[in-house]
Formats: sequence, C-alpha cells, structure tokens
Amino acid sequence: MAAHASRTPWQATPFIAIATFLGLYGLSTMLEMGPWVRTVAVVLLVATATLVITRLLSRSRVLPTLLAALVSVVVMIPLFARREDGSAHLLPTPGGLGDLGAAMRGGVEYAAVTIAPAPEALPLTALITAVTVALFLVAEHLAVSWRAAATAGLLLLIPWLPAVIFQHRISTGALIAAIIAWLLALALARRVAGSERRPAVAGALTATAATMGGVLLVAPTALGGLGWGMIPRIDAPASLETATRLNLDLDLRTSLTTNSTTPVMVYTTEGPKPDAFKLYALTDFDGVKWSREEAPLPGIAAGSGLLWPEPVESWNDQRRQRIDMQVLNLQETNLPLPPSPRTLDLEGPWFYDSERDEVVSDEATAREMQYSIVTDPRFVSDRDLRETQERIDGGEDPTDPRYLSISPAIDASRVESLATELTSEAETRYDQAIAIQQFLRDPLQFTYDTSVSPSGGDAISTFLDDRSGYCVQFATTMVMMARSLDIPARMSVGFLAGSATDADTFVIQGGDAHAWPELWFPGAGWVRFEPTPAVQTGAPPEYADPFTSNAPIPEDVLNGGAAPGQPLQPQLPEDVPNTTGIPAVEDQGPEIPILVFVLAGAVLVLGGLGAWWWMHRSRRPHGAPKDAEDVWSRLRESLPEPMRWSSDLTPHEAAQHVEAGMREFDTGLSGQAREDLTRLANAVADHRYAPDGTLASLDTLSEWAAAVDAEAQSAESDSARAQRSGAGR
Amino acid sequence: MTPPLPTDAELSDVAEVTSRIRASISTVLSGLDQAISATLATALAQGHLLMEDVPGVGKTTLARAFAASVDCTVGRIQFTPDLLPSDVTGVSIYRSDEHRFEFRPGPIFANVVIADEINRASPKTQSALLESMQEGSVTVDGATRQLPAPFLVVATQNPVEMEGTYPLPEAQRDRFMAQVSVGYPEARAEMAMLDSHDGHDPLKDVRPVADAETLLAAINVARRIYAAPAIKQYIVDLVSATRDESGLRLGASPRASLQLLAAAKARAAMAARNHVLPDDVKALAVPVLAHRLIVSTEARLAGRTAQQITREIVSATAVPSAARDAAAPREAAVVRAP
Repeated sequence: MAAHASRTPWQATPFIAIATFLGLYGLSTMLEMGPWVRTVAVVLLVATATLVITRLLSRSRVLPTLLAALVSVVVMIPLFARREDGSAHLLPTPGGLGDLGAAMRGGVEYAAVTIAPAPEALPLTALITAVTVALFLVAEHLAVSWRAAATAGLLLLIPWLPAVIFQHRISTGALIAAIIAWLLALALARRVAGSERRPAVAGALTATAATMGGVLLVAPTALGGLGWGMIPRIDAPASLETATRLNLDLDLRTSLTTNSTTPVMVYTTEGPKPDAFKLYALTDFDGVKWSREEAPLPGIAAGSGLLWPEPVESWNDQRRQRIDMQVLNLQETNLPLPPSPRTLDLEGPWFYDSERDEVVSDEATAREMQYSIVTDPRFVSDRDLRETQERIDGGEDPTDPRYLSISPAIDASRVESLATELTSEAETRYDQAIAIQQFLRDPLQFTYDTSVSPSGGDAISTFLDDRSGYCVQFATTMVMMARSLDIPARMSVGFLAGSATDADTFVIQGGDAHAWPELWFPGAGWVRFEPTPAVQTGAPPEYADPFTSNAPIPEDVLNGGAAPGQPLQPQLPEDVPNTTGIPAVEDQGPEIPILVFVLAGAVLVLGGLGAWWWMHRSRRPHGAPKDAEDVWSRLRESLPEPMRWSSDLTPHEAAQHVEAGMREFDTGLSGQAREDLTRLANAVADHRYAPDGTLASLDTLSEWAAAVDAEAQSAESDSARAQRSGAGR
Repeated sequence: MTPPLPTDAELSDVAEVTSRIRASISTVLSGLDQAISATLATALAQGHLLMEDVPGVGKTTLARAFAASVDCTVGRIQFTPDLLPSDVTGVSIYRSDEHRFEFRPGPIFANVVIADEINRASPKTQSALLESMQEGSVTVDGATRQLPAPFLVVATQNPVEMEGTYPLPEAQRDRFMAQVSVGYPEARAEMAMLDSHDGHDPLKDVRPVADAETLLAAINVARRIYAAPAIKQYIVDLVSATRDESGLRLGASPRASLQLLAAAKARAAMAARNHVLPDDVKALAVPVLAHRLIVSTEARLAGRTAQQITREIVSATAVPSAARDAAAPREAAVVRAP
C-alpha cells in the first residue's frame, strides 16, 4: 500500500506511448504509411518496457527516462545506422552512434526535398523514430514523473498540428483513440490526495467512457443540425482519406462552400495537360437545377477502340498524347476522360456510352485504380470548327429535342434576345459560341463569386441581373443561350486539369471540380467551351481562345511541347483559391478537419469537465472508511457547520463541541447519540494515542458516526424549517 | 529499553490514591480543582511547584494540606532576606564531646518542602534551594547527601509586595515544573471556607491518606505511561510555537518540553489511563509553560499576559491525528521496499 503511494504512476506510461504512436496517424497526409510504422512501434515498445520496468524498480523521477533514452538509442543503432558500404552496425559503438546521427541528418535533408506524402526511406524513418521517441520520453516524463499529464497532452498534440494547420484529412478513429489514451493517462497519473489511494483504473475508465459518450452525444449537435447522422460516420472505418464524389445536383441557387484539397487523381503525361476531365454529361435543366436520368449500361467495351461520338479521320497522325491516370480518392461510376477522341487501356467492366460520351461501369472507381489514355488534345481547331458550318447548315445536328429545350421556368425571350444581340455579327456557329463565351468571361460584365443570392424560380435571370456566380451559373447560361440560338448544347461535369507537382505529374484536387458547356459541331462532336472567368479557369481551350486560335501552332507543340496559350504550368496559381466551380465536390465522409476541430474542442471541454468532476469527486471520501481517523474526519465533514470542530480540538473536546453545536439547534443530542459520540471520540483518541489503538471495529465506529450524523442532520433541517416558518410569519 | 506499560491494577491504584489526596485537600480548600490537579500532577512527575499569588488566598494552605494528606516528612522554610543557605541545607556542627563535626540537616531534608515567600531571600539562598531541587541532593562541606524521595518543593511567592524582594530570575523559574495561581475563590467556595474555618483550623483535621511509599509507587507508574509520537509532536509544536511567538521575548526551553510530557503522563496516570491524551497536554500547557515565558514589552503594554499568550498558542495549534503521525515511519518503510 505504502509502496503505491510514492511510486510514480507507471500505469500511465503505456497509454502515453499509445497516444504518441497514434500521433503518427496525424502525419498520414505528409508521410506515406508503410512498414516503417512497425519500426517506430517496436522502438516505442522497447522504450515503454524500459520505462515501466525501471519505474517498478526505482522511485527516481529522472532515471527511468534517461535509461529509456539510452536503450532507445542502443536499439536504433542496429536499425538505422549504416556504414558507408551499407552494412548495419550491430553494437552501439561510437561509430554506430555517428552513423545514426548521419542517418538522421539524411532524414532531415530527405524531408526537405521530398513532396508530401513522403515515401518511406530509411533516413526518414530514423528521423521520425528519433523524434517520436523523444516526444514520448518528454511527454512520459512530464506525465508520470511529475504527474503533469495535462501538460504532456500539449506535447502529444504536436503531431496533429500539421493536419489542423493544413486542413489535412486524418483518421478520426486514431485521433479519438489517442485522446482516450491520453485521458486514461491523465486519470492514472493524477495526484492522489492523501497519498494512500491507489489510482482507480475502474474510475478512470468510467470517466473516459462518460466523456466519450458525452462527446458523441454533443458533438453532432454542436456541428449544427447534423444530428444523429454523424455518429455512424464518426465510427466509419479508419480509412485515412474519404472518397470524393461529384455532386450532380447542380443547383444554381446554392452557394459553393466546399474548398476541398483532397487529391482526387494524379496523372502523368509528357505533353500539355488536357483542358479538363469529363465524367458526366447532363441534358435536362428545369430552370433551377440540372438533373440526370440513369441510363442502362451500354454495350461497347471501353477498351475496344477509339472512343468519340463522331468518326475521327486523322487519328493516326503524330498528335497523339499518352496520359497515365491513377485514381486516388474518387468513387465514381464514370471514368474521367479528356474531352477529345481517345483510346483507353484499362481493366474491368467499363463501357462506352457514345450518346453521352461517357465511360461507365456498375462499379465505382477505387483507390489505386490505374488506366491510361491516348488522346489527341488538338483534335479540333478554330478552323475546323468554322468549317463545320456547311454541315450544320446541311442539318446534321442530333435530332434529340432535349438538346434544344429551354425550360419554361426561365425567361426564354430574355435569354434569346441577349444571345441574338451578342451574336449579331457572328457568321458561324463557332463564332456565335465564341461571342457568348467571351461575353460571359468578360471581367467587366461578370464577376466570379462562389456565393449566390438565393432566388426564386428563374436562376438564369437572377444570374444575368446579379452578374455574379460560379461555373454552374456561367455554364448553364451559355447552354441556354446556345439552345436559344438552336445550337445543340448540354452541360458537362468533371474536373479541371489540376496543378503540376512535377514536370509531367499533375494532381487533381476535389476543389478542381468543374462544370462547362458542350456544344455540338457536326464532325467534331461535342466541343467544350469555357465561359467561366479566367480567374478560376485560366485560359479557355486553345480552339476557343480568340486571341491565340488564329496563330499557327508550332510543330514542337504538336509533338508534345508547350503551347503558348496553354502553359504547362498549372492553370491556377498556387495563391488563387482553387475552387473552380461546382458546388460540386461532395465528400462521402464528413468534413474531417472541421469535425476534428469541433470534436477536439468538445473533447477538451468535456475532458476538462470530466477531470474536474473526477478530481472534485475524489477529494470527497468514498468507499469504506479505512480507520477510526477516517470515520472521524468524515463525520466532521458531513456535520452541519456549527458542529464542525476545528483542528485544535482533541477528540473529547470535539465531542463537546458537537454537543454545544446541537444545543444551538435547540435540540441537543439524545442520550443514545451522546453515548455514541463519546464512545466514538474515545475510540478515535485510542486510535491516535493509545499504545494498542482502538478495539472497536470499523463497522461499529461507522454506526456510531452515522447515528450522530443522522441526529445532527435532522436537527439542522428542523431548525432550518423552523426558521423558514418563523420568517414566513 | 522502554519500561513496561503500567498495568490496569497499578493505574487504578494511582487513580485511587490521587483521588483520596484530592478529596483530602478539598476539605481544606474548596473550589481549587485546577490548582490541586496541577499540584498532584507535579508531585507525580517529580517536579516542583511554584505558587505565585496575592497573600491570603491559600497558597501555603494548599501546600500544607497536600503535605498533611501524605504521611511523609514536611519541611517548611520561611524565606527572609537574612536567611542563609545553611539555614536551608543544614550545617555541620562541631560536637566537642565526640570531637567531630556532625551534620544537622536543614529543613530541605524532607519529602515535602514548603518554601514560603521564596523571593524574599537573597539570591545566594535561593540558589541553594534551587540547586537542591535540581540535583535531588545537597552538598555541604564536601559531602553530598541525597535528599529523600519523593521530594517535592512547593515554593510560594508574592507578586504585589515588591519592596525588599529578589524576584526569581528566569533561569530559576525554569526549574519549577509548574506554576499554579490559586486565585480568589468563588463566592460559594468562600462561603464554604468561612463555614469550615469557623472556630477551628480545618488543616488540623487533615489525616494522611497516603504515605511516601504509595507516592513513590505512583511516581513510578506515571513515568511508564505511554506517549504516542503524535503527542510528542504536539508538545514540540506547542513549545516551538512559543519560540516563534512575536509577543514573547523568551520562549519555552527544551526542559519545558520534557516537563510538559512528564506532567501530562502524570495527569494521564491520575485518570487511570495508560496513555497520554492531548487533553492532558492542553490542561497542563498553561501551568507548565506560562511561567517560563517572558512577555515582550509591546505585548505587556497591550495587556497580554504569558498565560493568555499560552492559551492563544494552544488554540492555534492543531491536535495531531494518527494519519499525520503515521506518515513518517511509513515513508521510512517505503525506502526499503523493492
């Protein structure tokens, strides 16, 4: 018993280790998780075991930490220290120590030049292991040696800071587990008043469970109306990333709130990056939002050849470009494709829908799915498109009336008159499209704004009045104007081409989601235009750019170099918010960074309250009394104020004090209670001062105390009642 | 080697004897329970008693009543300025018939010595008495003579009549275990006194109720009373508080701690208890400590007395509980555990 009192609370050590280890998951967007996690775990385990054993054997505060640090270094040398010939050091020699230091310096250099998420490398693992173990040792030292687990919690937060600062996605499960581990350590390492009580593991578990329960109940409410729907999401499997889906419910009345940085796809290509990647085509617009009918799975296998709605003549020339796509966090039944003729090399049951120009499947894209595309990015040119005018005049447009339908909910005459006025000088369909596009792109006319004022029925008129909106408003307006000019048009949803991370590697983020109009040109097919202002989308497609399209295309560009109007650099400078469009990206998982903030806040508040409650509670005596002294001090605590004796009174004097206090309540003690009190005082005096202690059993003592207490309490309440009724009169 | 704890029979003997003495004294002096208790405790603790009070309240009577209640030798010295040390200790007289000096013991060779108005004697004579009190023996002409046991000096002094007195120095006061103030009796006690003194001296009716042997046995029992570490801690707390008290120029000495413990043990024995309670210490704190303290000038001008300050210290000092006491040995045990 006594040994427990002064031994450091080693039980908390493993929980600090767990919390530290889980902190690695806070870095999961910066480091690629891999076998190195096991290495860190092993070193942490060794350090933990050393600490626990040392703490069991020694009461020193510093020795266990020093010993664990030493053991960790000794373990790390064979793991990480490498001679110049690459062989490992097995013994902790000075040379091994030097090579360990070199490995860590290498880790620092490696971290400085690597782009997140950093792939595994031995020096990096050495660095992470060293930092993690150091963090653990300091946090453990604080929490266990000095019983300052709350302060140690600040240290344990450090690995989570990058995720908070950079709004990275992290595993909710890992975070919650880390918090639980920390709370347990907090409960186990708390200062024990009276120094005799053992840290109550059961109590700690109860407090933790209560706190977490509170968080699960309160956090969804705090998130604002999400309600119970949140809970299963929180408990969702700890996939490190949540998948992204495009929101096809393009509603012109809703503001754009999401600015997701989730990497959706990554691709490599040698040539210029494509304009965009299309996933869906939408045809039906009801005046407010776009809708889409589910179509049966088409019969054309996606890998079977050239995929384009129109026959392509010059496919075998040199302008083809290969794009290797890799899905990261995208769950779609449609495959992202460049809006130009292409062939696909992919596995799985994917089929081509030529009407919609989509590659679809009944399975969704999955993480790590790879496919490659060969496409002709310069399939159309402004000249080709102008030349299609003859075939347009010849009536080769698609016959489906939906491509020309304008919802009665919108002011068709206003759209038509505006479109006619804009295109009064246009001779061809292409010139009409360019005129509309340039009108919408004109920064003097329209401003890009992700928040739109809610409106009633006619969203197009609202947009034309407000002159501000985001891609959906711009694209929809262009589609409607084109249809008013009898140009078959529809909406396309997909992603912009993303930003470059490397000379030929590009990453598409959730925020790159976009919508644009497609206009029909016989022979060329559905052609993408870009009416959304350049501030979000950069330059329009080369064929649709009136300022570059007349210039001859240099030969080297055609062979894979950079085009002047279409720099290889990402369209979006880093400092421009890369929310391009669509209200668009809807994550299947919850918005974890916000959730983390709210959860962490709730956990901290509730944890604090829980800890306060727990400590407050633990100050009061609980459980069975230990000895006569305990019975006596509890009686003192529970008695009403006038009867509580001060510490300078001996037990017998205290008994007299209690009797005097009872007389203040006009009652006095009954004979039995007075006898009990005297016997109790005698027993306490014997316990304290007699050579053999008291002979009375604890139960007897407790009975006596209870009898006295009961009488005192009833006397007090009687007196209070009497006073109240006296005042009432 | 700790002496064995007193048995219940021994304790009840002590309690019986002391209550008989107390009853006997009470027939002479009524309403002086506190003073009588302190006197008895001092006697059992082998200390000496100083009585300081105004004349005529029964200082000497109390001492004589105690002496009369115990069947033992009584010496009485009336201190005067011309009293010589040899008048206290005794002198060697040349016996011409036997051609040798013969020691004629002074009044101090008695079980109970009543030293009346001790502050009237010269410091030289006072020291002779106080040395004997301390040593328990008298050295005259190079020969050391043991004083009888039990040996109790009850000295009285008169605080008002300051002319021609030699107040006891602090060092000398420290040698008295306790100082008792008799004080004026309550009205009822004074009435009773008038009745009892009506026509005769009640002191003459006092018959011995104990003898020296019994008293010695009781002293032996009192010495073996158990004092818990908590009690010792309490005494140390109290005594060291007097040393830190701002109202005091001089605090209590370590001898005060020893004597307070001894007196508390005696009081416990009188209650037939084999262990000391803080109640014993509290009851004796003022008699045992107050006369040793020197009140600072500021405090004296503020009207505070040593007795008052001692009472304040007692009420400001926490009574030790077992938990606090147990902490120390438990810590020691921890160090040895693996």
